[in-house]
Amino acid sequence: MTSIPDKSSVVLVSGGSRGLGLEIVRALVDAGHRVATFSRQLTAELDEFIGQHSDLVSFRVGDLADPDSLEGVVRDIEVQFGPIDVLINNAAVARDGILSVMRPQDIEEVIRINLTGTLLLTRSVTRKMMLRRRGNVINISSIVGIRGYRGLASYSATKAGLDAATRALARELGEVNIRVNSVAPGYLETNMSESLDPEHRQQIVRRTPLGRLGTPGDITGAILFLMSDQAAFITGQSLVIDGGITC
Amino acid sequence: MTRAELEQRIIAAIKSTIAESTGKAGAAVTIDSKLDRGSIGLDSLGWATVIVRLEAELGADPFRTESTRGLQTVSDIVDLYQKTLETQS
Repeated sequence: MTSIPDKSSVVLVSGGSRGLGLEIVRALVDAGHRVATFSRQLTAELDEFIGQHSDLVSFRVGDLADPDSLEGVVRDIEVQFGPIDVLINNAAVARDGILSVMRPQDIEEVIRINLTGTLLLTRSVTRKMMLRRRGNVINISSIVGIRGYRGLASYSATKAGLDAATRALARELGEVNIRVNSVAPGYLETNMSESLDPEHRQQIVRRTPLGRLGTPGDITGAILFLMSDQAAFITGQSLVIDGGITC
Repeated sequence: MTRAELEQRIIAAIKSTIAESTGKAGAAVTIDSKLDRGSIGLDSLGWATVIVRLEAELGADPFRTESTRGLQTVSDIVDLYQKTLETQS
């Protein structure tokens, strides 16, 4: 059963139709928040979830690569649920490969979606938060923005960029009571990790002090904490959630 | 909207923002006030708030395409909004 928290927030999650984004949407709804999300396509999993919680969750088609669509998404959500209290920048694409031979258009796409699109969405949402003089932004970063991983140069650059933007925005917006933080997940038990070969997976587990891969719940718990008043004095920080593999 | 009305609304938005950020109402702002922090008391975040507030009120944001460089006085801001509103109508 969904338990309603003391304060039910309106949360916008970018890219909430699958993977970690969908898990974030589920966790927020389970915690009693009203959640709007968008992505390029509605998935069967999200559609089913919306069917079970139509009063708490909504979906719109939107694309971070299409800045013009973002302001419409934000406007529609505010009409349905009211002002956005929390923005969770989750949507991202990854194109792996050795940079020297990557297609230039793939490099540009990763930067356009992960960084430019995310900044433009943040621009739209924080404009409204500034007038209300409160808000909360949580960027989903990654440990690849902190440590080097071969084959992920462009993706890593966007995640490191997101962490840098987190700190800059925290400085910019603290005065109007908008907190900006990021969470940086490590290896998670998701569809993505299923593609790891068993040997590589074991190697990761061996190198992780806590001796396992993370779960989506490890990440959503941190997000709910950062959204809460318990984190009222935390801004400009990147919380690494990786079982200690980068420590 | 007449030029005088536009001036009033822009000055009101500036005064509201100063009041919010300083906690003191009644700041002296005129059409000839200079925009630098020492004169009017708003920092870059304050001016950003003025711009967002004016977009909500007037439905226009000249700074989507225009730079803030070269703006010296409140009158310069009114000129910019007037031009943008005329283009929109």
